[in-house]
Amino acid sequence: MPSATHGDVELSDSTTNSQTRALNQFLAGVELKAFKIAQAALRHEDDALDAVQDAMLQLARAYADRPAEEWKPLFYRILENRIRDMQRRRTVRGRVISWLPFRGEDDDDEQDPIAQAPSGEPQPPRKLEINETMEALERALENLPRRQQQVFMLRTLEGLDVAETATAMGCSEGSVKTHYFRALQALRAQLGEFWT
Amino acid sequence: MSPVEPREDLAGDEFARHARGVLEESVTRIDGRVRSRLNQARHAALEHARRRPSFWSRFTLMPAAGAVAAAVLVAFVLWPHPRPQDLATEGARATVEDLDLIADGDALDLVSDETDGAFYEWAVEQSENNETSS
Repeated sequence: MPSATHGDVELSDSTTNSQTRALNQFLAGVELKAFKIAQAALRHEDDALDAVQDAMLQLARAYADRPAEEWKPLFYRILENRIRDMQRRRTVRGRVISWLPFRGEDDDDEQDPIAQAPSGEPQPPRKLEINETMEALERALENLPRRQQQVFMLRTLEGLDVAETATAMGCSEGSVKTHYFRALQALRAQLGEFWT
Repeated sequence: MSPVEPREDLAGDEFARHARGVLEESVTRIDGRVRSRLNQARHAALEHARRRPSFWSRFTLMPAAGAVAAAVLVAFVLWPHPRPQDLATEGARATVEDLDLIADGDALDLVSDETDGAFYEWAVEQSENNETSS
């Protein structure tokens, strides 16, 4: 085994292991929030999962060597690119399908009636209130323009600062501030009744 | 200047804090199926990261790659190439022959006579015979 005889290889093996551990920790820390961000943008659970999975693979393949503090903006940059690609593909597919004379129903969009049925279990008022607030916020986020939604999610949920958000979105810091401000204004206007 | 000046400190306001709380709560409610798939995706990504050639192993491959590149370069330099003036002479000769063909009215008549297939067969035979005899 070369690692037993060659110092450099041994060094590289231990470096790789610690890097892999750090990457595991990083990905475990961002995966749920990343899923939530992708789901808000794509409005489809499986598409959101695919986008996050692709972003993880791409980060591991191309940027694992980079310093760990660079991973977060890089990861979200990759994720945003992936989301944009999926949205473009969806738009093209939608246009093509709208031209087809016989278009069947999309099986993926069919909901399981059993899973959708109300559980019958009474919900405590607090939980119900949170659910309503959550649904209202998710609806309001869906109505935001894409860039505003993106900035709001990255800054509010993921807690990226202005510079990191700018890196993740591939735009200027001024643009991030403007989008964030407009997103807050729009959300306030929509959610006033729930949030005052 | 834009009519509405964005403020940096908006991240800290009450509305944003409330929104963050709600979003974080929604993250905690992500179901087991999604969590399991994310977990699998993470392990697949880590496997990729493990299988990547390390920083040092890339350098260990460099001498071999350098030797191959040098051998290809030497072979290219030593390979007999036609001299530029030979190519120029050959090109000029071909151009003159083409010009002769175009200037020759009979040749153009032959080209326009599409029905005379026997002539073309004969011409091909002739050229094949010439090649075998030479």
